[in-house]
Amino acid sequence: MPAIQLLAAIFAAAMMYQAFINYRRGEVGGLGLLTWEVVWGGLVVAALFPGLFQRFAAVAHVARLLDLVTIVGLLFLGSAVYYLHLFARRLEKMVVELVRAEALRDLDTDPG
Amino acid sequence: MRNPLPLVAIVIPAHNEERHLPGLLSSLPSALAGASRVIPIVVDDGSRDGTARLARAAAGVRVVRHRVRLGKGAALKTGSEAALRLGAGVIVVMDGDGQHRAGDLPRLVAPLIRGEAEVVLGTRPLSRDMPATLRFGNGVLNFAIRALFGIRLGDSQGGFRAFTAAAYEKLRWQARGYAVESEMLVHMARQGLTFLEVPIDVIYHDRHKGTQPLDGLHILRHLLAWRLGH
Repeated sequence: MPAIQLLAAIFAAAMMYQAFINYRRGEVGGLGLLTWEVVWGGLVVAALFPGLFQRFAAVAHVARLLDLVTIVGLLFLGSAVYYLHLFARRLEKMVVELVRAEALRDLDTDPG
Repeated sequence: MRNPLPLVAIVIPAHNEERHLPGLLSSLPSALAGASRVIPIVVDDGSRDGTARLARAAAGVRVVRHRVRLGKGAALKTGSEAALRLGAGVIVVMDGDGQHRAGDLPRLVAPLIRGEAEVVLGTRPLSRDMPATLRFGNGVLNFAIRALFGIRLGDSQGGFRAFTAAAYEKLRWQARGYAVESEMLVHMARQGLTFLEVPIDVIYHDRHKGTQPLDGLHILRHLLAWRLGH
């Protein structure tokens, strides 16, 4: 087995553990834990037994499993960046509203 | 029946301006012709120095404070909202770094009180005193605003402006940073507000503060987005 396969499997397994830690700390819910365990667990299996997924590569009309993983990874990254962008915008708006509301409350209590 | 004299609120956004703010506040007039009262409102935008303390120590100044720095546009909006709550009929915005002269206030406010315009824009002289990057950036943005929104201005990025409270309701901006001046102009053009340009004096204390070249690119990107309807 090539070292890169082993490294990828170890990394994905470590991320499975990290997702569990985040769940225990209450940072992700049960559904979040399940989703991430499926994603990282799938990558452990794909790294160790690439032959199992070769059929998916053929169905997607890509020559190699690595190409399929790369394409799926890019799609995932793109959607994650978009989601984070929207999330950051929402958060920014909330912070601005909170800070402004607090500032104007001071105005109401300040006799001048 | 004559309208009652309006209250004039002077909104001053300030971030770490303890060096220049006391001088600016002490130079502000306590009365203006045609105004019932003049109230300076300092918006301390998350300063880490003594800006808020010094502003509170100044007589007759109202102070509102952003717990964290939100940017000039956000500070101006908070200050303008505060002005409305205090019943202002005219709102003046001027920078907290002391670059604008209180002596120019009557020229900005008088046309609003006389009903000659809804917005008055202070226009800085394009002299050699203005840093070269600012001169160049201002030229590019003036051109962009003329090309995209059809307003021909001598200074599209000046921060010394005045508008009526009714005009503010139509100008209300979303920009948190230095794009605020441009967004005001976009709303002004789209809402068909009447405006005047008046020449003002400027002293550049610190060439490394305020709008920088990257901010200019950011503003340009915003202008294109606003033109496309966002």
